[in-house]
Amino acid sequence: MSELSPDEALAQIGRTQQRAYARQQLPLWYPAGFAALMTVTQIGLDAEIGVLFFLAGLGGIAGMGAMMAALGAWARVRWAKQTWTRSALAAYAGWALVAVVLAFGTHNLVFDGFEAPWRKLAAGGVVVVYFLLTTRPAEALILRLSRGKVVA
Amino acid sequence: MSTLDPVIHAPVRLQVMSLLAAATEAEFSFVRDSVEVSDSVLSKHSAALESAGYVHIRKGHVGKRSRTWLSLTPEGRAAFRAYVETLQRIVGHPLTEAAGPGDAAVP
Repeated sequence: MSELSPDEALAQIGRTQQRAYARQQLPLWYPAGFAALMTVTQIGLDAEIGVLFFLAGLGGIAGMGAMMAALGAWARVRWAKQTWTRSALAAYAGWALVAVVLAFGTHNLVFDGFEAPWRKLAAGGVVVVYFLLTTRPAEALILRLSRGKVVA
Repeated sequence: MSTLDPVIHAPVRLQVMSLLAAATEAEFSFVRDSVEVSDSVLSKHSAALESAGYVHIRKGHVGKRSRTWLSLTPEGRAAFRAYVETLQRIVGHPLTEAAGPGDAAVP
C-alpha cells in the first residue's frame, strides 16, 4: 500500500475506530439473561429461608456473577472511557432507565392483581422481552451518536 | 510530511494504532478482523510497533484457549497523540469534533 496523505490519514483514524466499534456487539443473551436472573433473584430473596431462598435467591446472585465473568471472557476488546460521547452515554442510560421504569411500572400498575411471585415474574418477563427487542436498535443508536468523536 | 512519525505513518500500523488508541486492550483476532489483514501481516506490524516501544503484547489464557492481547504503551499513546497533532497542523483542521447528534462526522 502506498503512503497516506495527511488528509487520508486523518480520515483513516476515524474510519478505523468507527468500524471497530461496530464490530463489538453485546451478546443478545446478556441484557435479557441478566434481567431474567435479577427477577429470579428477587423472587428467591422475598421467600422465607429455605430451598427457594437458596436456589433462586443466592443461585440467582451467583448466576449474575457468572454472567458477568462470561461476558468478560467473551469480550475481545475493552474500550477506553473516552470513546463515549455525551449523547451516546445519555442514550445508553435512557435505554437502561426505560427497563427499570418498565419493571416497576408493570409490576405496580399492570400486574397488581397477580399473586406475589407471578407479579414479579410477569414484570420481569416484560423487561426480558424489552431487552430482546431493543438491544440491537439501542446499539445502532449509540453507534450513530458516537460518530464524530475520534480518540487520539 | 517529514515530521510525521514513520513508524505510525504506514496504512496498517496507522489502523492498529488508531484502534488501540480507543481501547485499553484489544485481542489480536479482533484487531486482525477490524483492520482486515492476515495473521502474519498483523504479527509483522505489531512486532514493529512493539520494537518501537509503542505496543505491548500480552499473552494470556481464557479457559484452555490462548489469547494474545495488544495495548498501547504510554509512549505509544504519546507518540500517537503527537502524530495526530502533526497531521492536524499540516491539514489545518482538528481531528476531534465535539461529538453530539448534530455534530459533523470526521471526514
